[in-house]
Amino acid sequence: MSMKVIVGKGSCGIAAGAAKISDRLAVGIENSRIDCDVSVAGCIGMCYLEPIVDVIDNKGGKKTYVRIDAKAADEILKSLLGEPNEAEKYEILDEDSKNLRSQRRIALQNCGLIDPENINEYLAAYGYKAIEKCVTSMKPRQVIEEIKTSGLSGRGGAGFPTWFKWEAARNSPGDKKYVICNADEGDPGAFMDRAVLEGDPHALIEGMLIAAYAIGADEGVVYVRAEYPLAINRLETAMAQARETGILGKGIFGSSFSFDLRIKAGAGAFVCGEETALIASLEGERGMPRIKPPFPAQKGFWQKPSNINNVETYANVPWILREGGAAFAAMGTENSKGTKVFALTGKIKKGGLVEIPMGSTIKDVIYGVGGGIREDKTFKAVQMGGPSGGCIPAELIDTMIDYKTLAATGAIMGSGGMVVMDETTCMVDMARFFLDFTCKESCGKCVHCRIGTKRMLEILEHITKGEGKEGDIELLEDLGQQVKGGSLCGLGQTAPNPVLTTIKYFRNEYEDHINHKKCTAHQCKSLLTYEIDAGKCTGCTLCSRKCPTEAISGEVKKSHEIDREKCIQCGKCAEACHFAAVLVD
Amino acid sequence: MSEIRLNIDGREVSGFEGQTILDIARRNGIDIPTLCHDDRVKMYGSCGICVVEAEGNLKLLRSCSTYAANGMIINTGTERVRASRKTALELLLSDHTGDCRPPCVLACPAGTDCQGYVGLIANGEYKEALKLIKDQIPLPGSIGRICPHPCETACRRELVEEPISIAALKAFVADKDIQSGELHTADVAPDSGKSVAVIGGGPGGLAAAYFLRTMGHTVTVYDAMPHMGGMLRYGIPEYRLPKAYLQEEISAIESMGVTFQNNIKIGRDITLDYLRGSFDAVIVAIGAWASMALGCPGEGLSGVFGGIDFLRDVALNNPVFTGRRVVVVGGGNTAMDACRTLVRLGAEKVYNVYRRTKAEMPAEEIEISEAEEEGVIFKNLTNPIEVVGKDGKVAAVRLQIMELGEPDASGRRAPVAVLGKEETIEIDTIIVAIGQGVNSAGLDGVELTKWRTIATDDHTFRTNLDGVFAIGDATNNGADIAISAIGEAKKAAAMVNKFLAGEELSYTEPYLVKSEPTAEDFVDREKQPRTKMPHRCVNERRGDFLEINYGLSEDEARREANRCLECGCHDYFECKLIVYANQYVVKPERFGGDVHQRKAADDHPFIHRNPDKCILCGLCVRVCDEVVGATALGLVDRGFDTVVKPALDIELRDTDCISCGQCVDVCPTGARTETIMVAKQVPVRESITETVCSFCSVGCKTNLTSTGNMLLRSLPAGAKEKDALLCMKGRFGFGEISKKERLTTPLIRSGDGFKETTFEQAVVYTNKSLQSLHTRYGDDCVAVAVSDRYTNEEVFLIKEYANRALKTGRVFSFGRVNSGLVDVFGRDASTATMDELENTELIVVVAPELMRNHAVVGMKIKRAVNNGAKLLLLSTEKGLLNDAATLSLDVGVDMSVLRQIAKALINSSLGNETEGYDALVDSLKDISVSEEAGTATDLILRARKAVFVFEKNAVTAQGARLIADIAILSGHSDKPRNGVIQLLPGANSQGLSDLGIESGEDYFRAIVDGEIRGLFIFGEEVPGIDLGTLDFLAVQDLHMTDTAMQADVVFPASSFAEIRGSFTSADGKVQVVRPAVDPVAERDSFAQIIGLSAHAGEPMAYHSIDDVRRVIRTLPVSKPGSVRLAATEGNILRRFGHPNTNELYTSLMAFAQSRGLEKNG
Repeated sequence: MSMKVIVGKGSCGIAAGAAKISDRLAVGIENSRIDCDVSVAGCIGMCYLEPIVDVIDNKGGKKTYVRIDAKAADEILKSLLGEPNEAEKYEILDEDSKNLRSQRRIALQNCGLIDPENINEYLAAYGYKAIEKCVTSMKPRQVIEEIKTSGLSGRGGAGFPTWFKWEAARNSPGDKKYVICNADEGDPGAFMDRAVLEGDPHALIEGMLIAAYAIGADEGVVYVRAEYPLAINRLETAMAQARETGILGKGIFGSSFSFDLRIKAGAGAFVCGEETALIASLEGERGMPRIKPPFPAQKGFWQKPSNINNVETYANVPWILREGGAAFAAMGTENSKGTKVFALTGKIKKGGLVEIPMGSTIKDVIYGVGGGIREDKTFKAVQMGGPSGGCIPAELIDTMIDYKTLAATGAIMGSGGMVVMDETTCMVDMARFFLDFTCKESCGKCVHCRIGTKRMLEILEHITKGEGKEGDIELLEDLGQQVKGGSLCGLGQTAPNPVLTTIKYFRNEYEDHINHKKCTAHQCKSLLTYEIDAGKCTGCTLCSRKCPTEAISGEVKKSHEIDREKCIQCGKCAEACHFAAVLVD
Repeated sequence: MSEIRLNIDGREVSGFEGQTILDIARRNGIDIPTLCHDDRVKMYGSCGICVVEAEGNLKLLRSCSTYAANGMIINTGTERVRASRKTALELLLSDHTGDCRPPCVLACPAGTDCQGYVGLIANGEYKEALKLIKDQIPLPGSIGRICPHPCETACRRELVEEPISIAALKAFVADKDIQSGELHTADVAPDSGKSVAVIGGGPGGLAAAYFLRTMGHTVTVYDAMPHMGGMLRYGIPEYRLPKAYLQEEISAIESMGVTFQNNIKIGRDITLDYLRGSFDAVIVAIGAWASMALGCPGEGLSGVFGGIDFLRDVALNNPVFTGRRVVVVGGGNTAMDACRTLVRLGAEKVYNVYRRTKAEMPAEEIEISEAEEEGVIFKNLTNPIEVVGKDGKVAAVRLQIMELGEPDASGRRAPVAVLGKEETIEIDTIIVAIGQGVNSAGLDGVELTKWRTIATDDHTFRTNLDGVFAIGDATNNGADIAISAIGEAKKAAAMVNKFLAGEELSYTEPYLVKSEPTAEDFVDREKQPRTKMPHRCVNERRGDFLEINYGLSEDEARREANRCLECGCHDYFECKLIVYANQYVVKPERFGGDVHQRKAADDHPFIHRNPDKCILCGLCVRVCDEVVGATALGLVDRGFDTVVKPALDIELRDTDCISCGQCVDVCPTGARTETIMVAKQVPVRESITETVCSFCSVGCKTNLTSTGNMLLRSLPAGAKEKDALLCMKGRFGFGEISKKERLTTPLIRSGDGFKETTFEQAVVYTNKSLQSLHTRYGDDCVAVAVSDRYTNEEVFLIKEYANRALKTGRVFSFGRVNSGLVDVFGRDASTATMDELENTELIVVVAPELMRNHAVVGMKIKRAVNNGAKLLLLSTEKGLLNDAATLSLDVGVDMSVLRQIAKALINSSLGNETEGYDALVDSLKDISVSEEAGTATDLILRARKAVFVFEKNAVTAQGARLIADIAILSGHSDKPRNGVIQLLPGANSQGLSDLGIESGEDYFRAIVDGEIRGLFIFGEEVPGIDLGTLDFLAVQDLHMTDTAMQADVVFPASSFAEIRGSFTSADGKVQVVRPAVDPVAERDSFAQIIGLSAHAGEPMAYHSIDDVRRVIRTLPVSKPGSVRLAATEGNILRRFGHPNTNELYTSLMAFAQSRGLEKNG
């Protein structure tokens, strides 16, 4: 067995420089004529360690090197040649690898492990066994039954039981049906679908094949955002290979079942994650939601019964059919079965993708797999479910990850985005940030969403600028509830969540902003006051030279002063001061 | 569809599965508001106004797009529902810019529709303007003369150069009304059985009486003075408001049945208690008749008069001694009136004493400057500190010299005494006009304010006594301008009306959207100076009391009115948003924030878009796409900045827009408005007349809207029905017609030109001239031509006149060409209807310019295609139809494709029993069938049902015969949803054919050859024929056409919007034409023809159009080329008097069999 070097080349790895590392290793291996393959893999989830290189020796032993730069790559090359080297320095810490082991990986089972551009590696990992089993030995109804047993629910956000949608589509009359994959992952800070597309595209294809078989569809569309070029590229490659292998096309595995797939690149509107808007976009119309019913399962793409799931949902399906629905259902809680992938971002030490069984707590994720808060600051809150989600405060850190339990807090499971916040995060500003996003992404159809989110955003902007006034909180609450109730689709119905949950848990911060013109997290610049600590100031004059409004005065080598009237709270003085003499409050 | 039952607002109602909650509610008379729903388009659900609560459902449901389910319990008016609707409306209004009402209307204390009447005057609609004013002001001429016109102060034309002379325009139309001798008064409702006493016959009291009388109440006005008019009569001098004029306006109120009781003073002659006991309600409008005292030593001397007391005495012709030198104290209008009256009475020196400068004087600028011109000496910055007496009489006045200090509470700079500086003027009398107080004696028990005015509620006008209301100068803040009292009178009358009905009295300030443009917004406006009111020169006027102003001339008035900037929203009277905003008592201020300022788009000749008024309901986009099929509009951008416009920023005119105006009709706000073809667009309530479009033979129903005699718009009738469509000509075309100068009187040739004449003379001249030709040239030397735009009734009368009076059988139409269908079907008529067209399987079109000539048929075809029909287009038409066509091929100049299709049909059939078949086969023997024609034939043969559409004037008779042949050969001629539709150029082309009017083609030669010596042309332009061969030509037409220019006598015709009658559409529907406006000429077409015939010794026994119709209906059915009008119920009448269409087919098939097929080749 020859040696093998695997470079993690998901978008995260490439962003960290994996392409250059990969080239350097390939050139080095080529030049030194070692018998060693260079291969790629998708994201393993530990984005904070990228670029990551695995070396598999000729006995099958594996070593993982992390945070690889040119020098590290050279050390790895030396180790391959058997020369003295310092590669050991770059080996993954036990603590990190333990984290990987502590996860339960189903949707991400192959991500970061196999070469996504090589169907054989997928096949070697029991790929396409599940669809083969379905078409050769199961009736569609049995497939749906298995999914029902598994308790799998939609991982895109709403958490609707998957079997129910499949059955509805199956039972809708019609010769022509469609299977559609929503790969329009639009939440800021969520990238689990991208990881699957880039790291294990065949899992999606297989999941869609099984769904198509179950509902009686022969055509599928993957609606991917055009901002995911690598994902599109790898999915295209995978589709081509699957076609070549006879897995996509007519008479799959010798059965009468036929299915093929195409990709539709979407122009990236958040609202196109809503299934009716997605269908409108697929049909070449403006991406705007329409009223349900009829549901897509009744009248979907081109008015035909259509099943829409997201990438993660489909990626779970092959495992379930291979291992049995019961095995999936054995994991999780009463309401939420199986595992869930989360994208950990924000003030977290070990940012990246994690997949854990349902029923774990938020604390397990943040302080377990996530390694805790960066710089060991105090955990303040976590935003779950992206802009549609809500904020869960520190006191609820023991909340179980479960659709119902999370919803009870005002947050949602959503697609699995977790943005971790510490003491330096201003909750008002955070709410403003997410609302700014949904406000811009509103399709403009519903009055409440189009103008309501805009007016809420304006109020938040006023508050963060110190122009908040009494009654603003109540107006936000009232308008927030009206927007939720008055909007047609999920975007508007959830857009106020970040605002409403932050008001619910951090009302005092809002009140500080409005009544005392104070931002305790020191994030809202307009509310900050700058003062020079006479004891610390050395009179170096640097601050007064940086000040754009000449608000700082003072003689050389004597303590300086800031004129509050002239100060525009730009913070340049505090940044410039070498002696921490500028006090910000 | 199974029936379902649900409970809405406590009522058990039923509907059917598949109906929405909104639909079922509406069908059961329960109104649910919505801004974005229209039954003709797919569910959308954007506005969120139609939400309702359903029991057991946590979320509010959009009733427009939620299917009702059996057993649902719906509540449409809960707090939560109302709150949600209110929020939606407030959010919409927080980004809705414009002016619901113009600033002039908002500034008028009486809310007079200034923009409305100014606009009507600009269009020459003086009577309508007057009516509009009289909705608010019963004394328009008097008020127009004396009102300090807050409307003009508010007028935005000021931002361009100067305000519109609104008050002068009001007086202008009031003068016209008085000159007409029939003063307009509002309609009086039936007797209510209630009575109201009004105390005080001034502007407020008279107005209250007027409005209460219109409500049907018995009203008696009591006044202490000998005549009604109050301050208008006794406070305003004659030279500003002639009393005879005022009396005319007052008499008009009396003529409505208001009882006037003069010389009766409350408290002296009659008590309030008596009135309260004798009437159901009392309105106190006693005014402020007490002059304020000067408040300095000497004011008790003889020769000190109150300003209004002085004016009243002058008005009553009481002897007043003023002497030669008089001081008038005060800076208001009363002071100016006193000064100028004194000048006219001959005083040598009239001083005006006022403690501030002229700039601060409350009097109107024109009053001050005119007074100055007349010689009044202004002693500004002086204040009387003592009236010096001699022998108990006034001898002099000591004046304190003042200067202006810091601004006081009123914002004006306060006058401050300059210590030690004084002036003394020797005078004979002093008139004090520094304010008016209320004399409330006799109003026992009525609560007063601390200023001794009557205390009333600002909005309900109630006093402390039940059933006693008070208005005007006598109340609360005291004296104000007359129009304020009138405004209060109207509002109080409404309150009294409610009180009399036993209703709760309450008032809510109406919500209106307002904007505040600056001069910047009008920089591109051309400057047009304000028309100065012409008035008498100073030397002439200062010696008498004749009216100063001459009033505006008609030209001046129209020019002035045309300066109006049209600030108020043109959609105000149709806007749904403002109706709901007031129903839900919105407060959009709570959502203040960014407001869009986008450029309104004028990228279309008829359709104006204002995105700042758009609420993005999407109706225009959806109707254009789903109903019209043009898809000219789309939603662009996202979120808050979403906007409706054509894709890719092209101009609307460059899209597939067919100018049907549907987008304007569905717009719930003023975001889309149409260009109205009148001088001045003006938002006013419009009358609606349902009639038939006159532009082509499709026979679209249209609602003509009008104000007075001004046609405003033509809208598709039955806007809620899917087939309610008009094309550009139908929707906007009539404006083009009315643009040209209409003929209003008969004209007789005089040398090279024409001179106006009477109808009698024109009739004599015409009949005698034609008669003389008859004697010279014998029978049939005279012919009559009639246009296909004339109604069946007119055509019938004209034919009768020709046959009987002119003794000629030669009645034809230049616009009518020889028929092809008649040779096949035996009748020159369509065999299928437009309704069938929309429900057939295949439509075959031979009409190269269908979208131009008959766009609505094009849209119907497009719709049929959307519903699954196939389209075979046998002509090259670009755009919409081409896109919709299943197969499109060029028919060829010689109709070769039609021949090939006929041949292919023969080839594929097993023969045909119809007579003439063999001859047809023979005629086509040399034709070879191309592949394209073969494909087309396959389409025709495969369709179970097919309708053939062609334009008669675009296809030769030969072509028409071929089309009919193809229909018969393919089996598509004689069954429901099959047949041929022949589209014709004129609204009544089919009627001409049915009434036996011959084709003009055969008569061209007869005219050129001089066989015809005399011709009477009704409404036709005759291009390309030399009419110089005629000895006599009479023409009747709307305008002075080129043909009319050649005539010896010209009669004015009536347009379709002015007459009663009927048109027969291309598919044989006889539809009623109704008049929307009065004929412009003294005699309409009907009267003219009756007159012509009677003079020629053949009197007709028709007294009305209905008489004519009755006769047409009795014409024998079997007679070919005759028509029978059936029932008059509804708008659609069918030929043959049979509602059963099979009759039509059977008869037509019989014709086809009897006539056989045409020989070709």
